[in-house]
Formats: sequence, C-alpha cells, structure tokens
Amino acid sequence: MTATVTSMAGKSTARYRTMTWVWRAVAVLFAAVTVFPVYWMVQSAFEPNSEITSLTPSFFPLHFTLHDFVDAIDHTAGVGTAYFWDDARNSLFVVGTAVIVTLVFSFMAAAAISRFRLVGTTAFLVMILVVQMVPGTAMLIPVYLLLNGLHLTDTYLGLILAYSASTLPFTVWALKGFVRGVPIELEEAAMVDGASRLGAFFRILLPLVLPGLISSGIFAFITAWNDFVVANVFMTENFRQTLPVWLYSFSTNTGTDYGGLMAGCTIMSLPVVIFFLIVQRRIVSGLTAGAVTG
Amino acid sequence: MKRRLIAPTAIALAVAAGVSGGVMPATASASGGALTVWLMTGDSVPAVYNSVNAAFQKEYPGWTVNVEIQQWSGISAKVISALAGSTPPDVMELGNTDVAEFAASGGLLNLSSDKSQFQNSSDWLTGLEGPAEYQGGLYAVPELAGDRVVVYNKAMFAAAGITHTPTSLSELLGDGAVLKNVFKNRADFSAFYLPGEEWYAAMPFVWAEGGQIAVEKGGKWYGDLESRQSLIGLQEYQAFQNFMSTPASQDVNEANPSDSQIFASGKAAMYIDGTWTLGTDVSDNKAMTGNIGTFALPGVTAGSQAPVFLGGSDLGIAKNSPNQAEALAWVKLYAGTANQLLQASKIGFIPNASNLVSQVKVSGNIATYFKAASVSQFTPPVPGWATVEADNVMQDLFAQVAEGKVPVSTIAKVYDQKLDNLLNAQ
Amino acid sequence: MAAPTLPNLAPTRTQRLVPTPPSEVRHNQTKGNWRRTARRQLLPLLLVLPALGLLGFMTLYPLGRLIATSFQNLGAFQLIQHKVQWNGLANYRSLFTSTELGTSVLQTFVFVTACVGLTMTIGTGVALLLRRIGNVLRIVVSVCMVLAWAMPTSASSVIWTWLFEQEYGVANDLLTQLGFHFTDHNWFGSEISAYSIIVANIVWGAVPFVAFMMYSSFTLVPRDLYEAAAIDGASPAATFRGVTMPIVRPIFVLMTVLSIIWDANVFNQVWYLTEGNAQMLNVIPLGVWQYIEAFSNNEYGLGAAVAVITILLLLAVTGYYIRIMVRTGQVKAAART
Repeated sequence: MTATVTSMAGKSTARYRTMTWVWRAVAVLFAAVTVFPVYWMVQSAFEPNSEITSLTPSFFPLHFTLHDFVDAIDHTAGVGTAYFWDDARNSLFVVGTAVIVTLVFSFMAAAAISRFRLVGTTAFLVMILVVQMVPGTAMLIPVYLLLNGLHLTDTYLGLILAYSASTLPFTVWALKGFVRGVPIELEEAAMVDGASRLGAFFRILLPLVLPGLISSGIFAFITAWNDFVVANVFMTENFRQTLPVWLYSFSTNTGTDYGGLMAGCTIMSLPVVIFFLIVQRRIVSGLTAGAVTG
Repeated sequence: MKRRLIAPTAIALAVAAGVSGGVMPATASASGGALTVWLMTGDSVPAVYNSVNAAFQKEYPGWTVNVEIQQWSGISAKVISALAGSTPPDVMELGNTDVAEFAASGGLLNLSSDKSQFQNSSDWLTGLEGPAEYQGGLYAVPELAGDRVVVYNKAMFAAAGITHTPTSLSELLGDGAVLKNVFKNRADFSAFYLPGEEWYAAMPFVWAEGGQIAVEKGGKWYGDLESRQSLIGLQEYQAFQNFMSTPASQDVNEANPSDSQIFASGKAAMYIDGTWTLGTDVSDNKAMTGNIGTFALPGVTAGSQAPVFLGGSDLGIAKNSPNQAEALAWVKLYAGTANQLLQASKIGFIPNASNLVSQVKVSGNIATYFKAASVSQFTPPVPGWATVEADNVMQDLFAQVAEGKVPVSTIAKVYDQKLDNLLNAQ
Repeated sequence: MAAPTLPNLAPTRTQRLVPTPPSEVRHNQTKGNWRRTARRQLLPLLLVLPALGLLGFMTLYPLGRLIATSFQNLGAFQLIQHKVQWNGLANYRSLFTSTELGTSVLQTFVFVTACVGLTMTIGTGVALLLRRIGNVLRIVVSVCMVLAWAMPTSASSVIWTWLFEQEYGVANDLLTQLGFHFTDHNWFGSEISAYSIIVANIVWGAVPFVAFMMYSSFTLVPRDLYEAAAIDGASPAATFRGVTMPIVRPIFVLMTVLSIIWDANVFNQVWYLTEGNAQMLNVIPLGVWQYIEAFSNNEYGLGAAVAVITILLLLAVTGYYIRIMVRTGQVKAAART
C-alpha cells in the first residue's frame, strides 16, 4: 500500500500535511541517529590507523586513504596468501543456500500448520520456541558433537544445516502469523476455479505472504552472514572459512588493526545492503489490499 | 578470556572434534602423510614456518604440513574439544597462560622423556617452561616469548635534564617528579602513564619486592598477596601509580584509551609496552621517530631489574594424535636454535632459551626487551588460573589498589580469598 | 481430487467485508472417515516434514544432550578423558544456593524489560512512521536501518565504546558543544550508566528488525478497512487500535516474545563492554553467566544447568503468550468439527 492514505472526508488536509512534515523531520532524525555508528565505521575505514585511534576524533577523515581496504583484502594474517575472496565466496554460498532452505521449509511448514489441523502442531510449535530459549553458546557443544559424528564438520553442508536450523524456528512462527492474516477464502476461490491445494499455496498464498518471506529472509541472511561462533568451530581450514572468521583475524595477540577491521566490516556489510535494496520494495507487496475478489 | 582479545565471542565448542581439515590417516613415515599444525594469528609468518616445514620434509619425505592459523577468540574451548576428539591437530600453539589447563587435562603428550632431545632445553626460559609442567611431567615445549619494558620520550627527558635512565625505583620516582614539574602546565600529563587495570605492568612491583601472586603448598595453591613482601609491593605500586599517572587512569585498561596514543601525543613521558607494539602506534606518529627510548623497569635496589611478566607460547602435541613421532620431529625443529634465531629476526619474538637471547643480533630498543627477559616471572601454572584470567581478577585487584578507596591490606585479604577458591577448583 | 480441508475460521472483522465463496467448496467432514483423515493429513505432513526433520535432528537431539549434561560434572578433564560423571542435582543445588543466581535473574529481568520495552515501542513506532512518509524518505530510513542491523556485533561494540569514551569520545564532544557539561564524563563509571549504553546498543541493533516485521505485517490489513475507518471519522490512534492491531497482533506478540527470549540470552554486546572493565562483573545477566560458567570456568555441567534454568524461567514468563499464540490457530481449527 502506498505510504499515504489519500485524504478523505473527515481528515483536515492542512493539518495532515503539517503532520506529515513533522513526521518527516522525525524520520530524518531517527535515520541520522541510527546510521551514525555505521557512518563512524565507514569513515574510520578511510582513515589511517593512527588517525582512528587518535585522541581527537574527527567527523571526517583528515587523511583520506584507501590503504585500509587494500590491506584488508590483501590481508594474509600468517596464512601466506590472501584468503578474503575465498571466504567471501564461501559466505555467499553457504548463507545464500541456508536462506533459501529456511524459507522454503518454513513456508511449507507454516502453510501446513495454519491451513490444516495437523496432529502434533502444538508440540512442534512449542518445541521450536523452547529451542530459541537456549543460550546460544550452550547449544553449540552438543550440535558440534552431533555433526562431528557424521563427519560433517569442516564441510559446507554442515554449516548450511546449522544456519538453516537456527533461523527456521523464527521463520516458521513469523510465516504462521502471516499466513493466518491471509483470508483462506482466497485459496478457496482459486480451488473452486480448479487449482489444487498445493497450487493454491504456491500461486495464491505465497505471493500474499511475500512481505513476511522477505523480512524473514533478511533476518535469516543477516543472522547467518554475521555468525562467527558456529563458523569458527565448524570450519578450521582457512580457505573454507567464512567472512566473520576472516574478520577476527584482524585482532591478534599483539593488538588490533582497526583500519583493517573497519574496512573489513564495511566490505562485509555491502552484500546485505545490496540484497536489501533489491528486495525492499517487496516488503510492501500491496497485493492484499484490493486483491480480494468475490 | 584473554585480555588481548578485542572482540567478544561466544565460544563454540564441542566435545568431540575432528577439527582439522586435512589430516589423513597415519601411515608409516615411508609412505608419507600429513601433519596438521595450529598456529595462532600474529605469532608466525610463512617465512618462518615454511622453513621449518622444508626442514621437516627433508626428514620425512612424502609428508605435507598443513598449517592452520587460528583466532585467539574462543581458542581455549576449541583446543579442549579438539583434544577430546578423535582427530585432533597434531601440534598446537598454546598461550603460556593457558597451557597449564591443557597440561592438567591429560590431552597433551607427556614429553618429559624427550626433553633432553630438544636443543637448549636446559636453558629454556622459566616463564615458558614453568606453565608447561604439571605434576612433574612436561607437556609442551617453549616456542616464543615477549615481555614489556618502559618506553620513554627522549626529548622530554632531555628537557627535564635527565641524563641517564633510572637504575632503581626510587631514582625513577625522582625522575618522575622532575618531569611533572617541567610539564606541569600540560593538561592531563602523566610522568609515567600506568592504567590501573594493566596488571602485566603492575605485577613487577610485587615481584620486585620478592612477593608472589600465589604459592603452592602441599599440592594446593594459596594466594600470596597478604605476605609481607607482596603487601609492600602493592603499596609501592599504589604510591607509584597515584604519583606518576593521572587520576583518570586508575580504573581503565591500556587499550581504552590507548596508552601508546597517549604517549605518542605527548601526554606522557613514559609508559609500558610490549615487544610487539613498539612499532605500530608510535611509529605511525612521525614526530616520535628517533625520539623513543626504552629501559627495563628497575627494581628496588640500584642496578637491579624488576622481573618482567613473560608472555609467550608453547607448542603441545595432542595425545590422540596419530602422528606423534612426526609431530615431535616438527616441534623439535620449530623450537630448535636455527628456527628460534630466524623467528627473532623475522618477527622480533624473544627466543625460548636464555642462551639464545644473547645470540640474537639486536640493537637499540629491541635489545632492551631481549635483555629484560632474563629476569622474568610467570603466572601460577595451575589450571584454575584460566578462570582467574577469565574473571578479570587481576585487573580488579590492581584497579582497586590504584583507586585506594579501601586499605591495601583489606584488598589483599579479599583477593587472596578469591585466589584460594579459584586456583584450586577442579 | 482430494477434498481440501477448510478450517472454519471464526469470522473476523476483516472477513466480514470479504465475500465468501460459494458453499460447494465446503465439504462435510465426518469424524469416522479414517482413510479420508489419513489422506487429508498426508499433504500437510509432507509439507511439515522437511522443517520437522531438520529441527528434530539439529536441535532436539542436541537439546537432549544439553539437559543430560546439566546432571553431570563436566570439566576439561572429563571432556578429554571421556569420563561421564553423573552428579545428580549437584549442579542445580550449587546454583540455587549461590547468591549469583538470584542476582542474575533479577538483573536479567530489569535488563530485558528495558530492552524489550524500548525495542517494541520504538520498532512499532518506526513501522508506523514508515507508512506515513514519502517513498524516497522511506527508502532512506530503511537503508539506514538495514545498515545498523547488518553491522556485526563485534564491530558495533567497538564503535559504541569509541563513541562513548571518556576523554576522546564523540558523544562527550557533541554534548559539550550543545551546551551540556559532559566533558570527560565517564559513561562506564557506574553500572547503571554502562548498562544504559549496552541497552542502547542492543535496542539500536534490534529496532530495525522489529520495524521491518511490523511494517510487513501492516500489509495484511486491507486498505478498504482503513477507508472505512476514515469515513467513520476515527482518529489515527483509534484506527491503529481497532483496525491494525487486531490483525497484526500475532506478529506483534511473536516479536515481543522472541525479543524477550533473545535479550535474556544476549551475550556479545554485554561481554565486550564488561570483559575488560573489571567493575562491571557485578552485574551479570543470565546469558553472560552461562558463558562464564561453561567456557571461562570450563564447567560445562554447570553451564548446562544455567541454560536449563534459563529455559524454564523463560517458559514461565512467556508461557502464557505462547499458549495464546498456539491456541489461536487451534481454536479455529477445532471449531469446524
């Protein structure tokens, strides 16, 4: 739906317009505050190390340099060769796959439990919520143990499974809520017209819950993309690791290369932002409003 | 968790661990195999380990060595799980404050009978060897060391008319007084910037008086802060810190705000820093080039040196390693004279034996670090020490002493109690 | 063609406005028809199976192991030597008799309330804001939020520490320039002050997610309902309460429950700011305590017990809402038979 409800009887246009400007100002302030730490990170990435840790911080790089970025990408950290591109590729592959798996599995599950009375639904739902309650660090030991027994450690598959499993609970619950918000009559109408149940799911329901899928997808992507703990444990070979592990190599026993760290973080944020920009329009599909026909 | 770690992490680790990526099943050396070695980030460079690998491959043709660089974050638990698993890495680099914990766990190979086969083993630095010993057995081999000395601003010393570096603590205090006077108009000036939580720098004050953090009696460890010498040392530290450093520094650590930055910007005439960082921060600041001098923290009596806190690493071999003989050979090479000297010249780490320290050709500031390592101490080699570090007990202790809100004797009593509890936990 | 199952949704305000399809779509479901029930269950079962399988394998089994571990004495030695030492309730007993448990729970409670309260309020508010402003500004705000959300916690913790540094931080600098006396203010001097920074950091990172989820959920509300409400002369507040909230409530409750769960277990941000700062260890939320017991102290049994206690506590707190969330689906499904 478009952002502004068209003015209609009962709404004072002038007042509405004034308030819109007020809200716009609020939005700008909010955006500024929200993005300020990110801005700080990015501007640090263009400063030489001495300026980053200097005692008089400046809002803008005084000695603009691309050195930190070059350093970050060429960073070898004792491995002998730069492994940024390998780790970047690994991250994209593992996280991308995990997100797709999560969304597909959870859409199917959410549709099934919302549209059918399935035995064991309550147990299933409660169980996945309970699993969320476990402190993240605690679950890692048993999970690692399990995967190790199956020789899935230090493999991409193991990591994909781990990421999917950790983002699945939230996504199932969220999509359940979204599916419930879509009137079943729409699918019924399609089935009357000859569609199968499954067909109704994928052709009617899926597009309508797309905003939920996109939001959950971004959540799954960011969670998996930034994970260090799991990736660090499961992958030990430097060329099989993911970006967050690569990022930690800027902190050594003898100090931290802040310039490299900030540049590395900036680079890491790029795919997420690009992904978001591509899908952001879909967060508002605008299809529910007015799409309901008799 | 190590102080040096900058970013937090939850640690992952699981009990069983076939963690290494490229280990092949052990076979007789003739047909070749692969050795997996874990080295810590920042502690080695390809120039060094490749030369060791090359020498190893001459002894074991057909063998490859997979060096995997690990991050400090989460390494303790990662090593434990690896040791508990069926396919641990063959060789692991272990920080010397961590190694006691692994030695006691039974996961490392006992090397006592092989000790004589290692070059220079009779001269190994006590700060590296001590923590690797457990109940009479040797479980890891010294690999590299670093320490901390006083870094000073030559121009400031000249301006204050100080002609030679102090050789005793009281002389250092005297120099501090002169510096404070000369620079009294400079805002936030410290004659000697010493953050209260920098316990590596504070411990030497206790050691210089003959005190100890903890001592062992009959198999159990007891905090020793309440002993006469330790108390004197703590009081001297308090007086020194309060006199020489700004009040704001009492409860902060050396990273935040960065002590090297404070020094580089001229807000301090002296501070303590380690072998490794002498380069980066300070040399980034062009004004400081050529202006930096070093001296070891002096002891109480003239001409003596306060024992330095020796940091460093050891190399351990996993008990479950299928390639023990090969691992041993590799470690012998890494800890051997040739490599230790190479390591010193390439990376600047102090070699693992005192006789080697004098063989390294270093000059200028670096030489101070090397010389200071001959008088060193280390932390109690007991597994419970890992908890002491994780709980920031030492940082707390010295920050409180620096703040002086509570009498030193009371602080010592409280912390001895803590140490008694933590060190003996099993 | 298999008869579609149709849960008889109790008509809501939304659906009253939606014309119902022809009744021939509704089939009689007799209770005794086994084969039909089984076949009806087949499709949904197949749809759920992948998720169920993955979760059962990757989470149920490890969870079981974790619970078992809480009854063991598991340290580095036992781990490596593969010695399983059961110690019954000893871990739990030592936790319950320690003063730390009560303190940690209380501190966590206050901490979580602050984080969740702020996150949900600001998040929902921002979602509403997003609807109100123009397209361009909405994209700008969204991108800013995504940038904040996507920043790795390790980097954001470093930045936040820098920003609030006592002598050289930007925060003090700015505030002083604005006229307040904040020169050399020590944000990390007191626990309340330091935890305020931690809460701000967490809320800052969490708001984008809530905002996006709530914003997406607003799409479920048909536009004609808003038009109807406007015609009725309802104020924005009344519209939100009466039209929007009922429909988006499931998402809202879900986000609140999950925020409670996640914030109770939060680790990274708290750990970073307390790790090097000694005094801060007087305030230890549950998520950090679990880590300290398990990994710093290598007491995995104790750590597992803390984890189990945390789960039970969270169940107690959120149980009521979970029942509601689960039941709303069930009630409607049961109503049809």
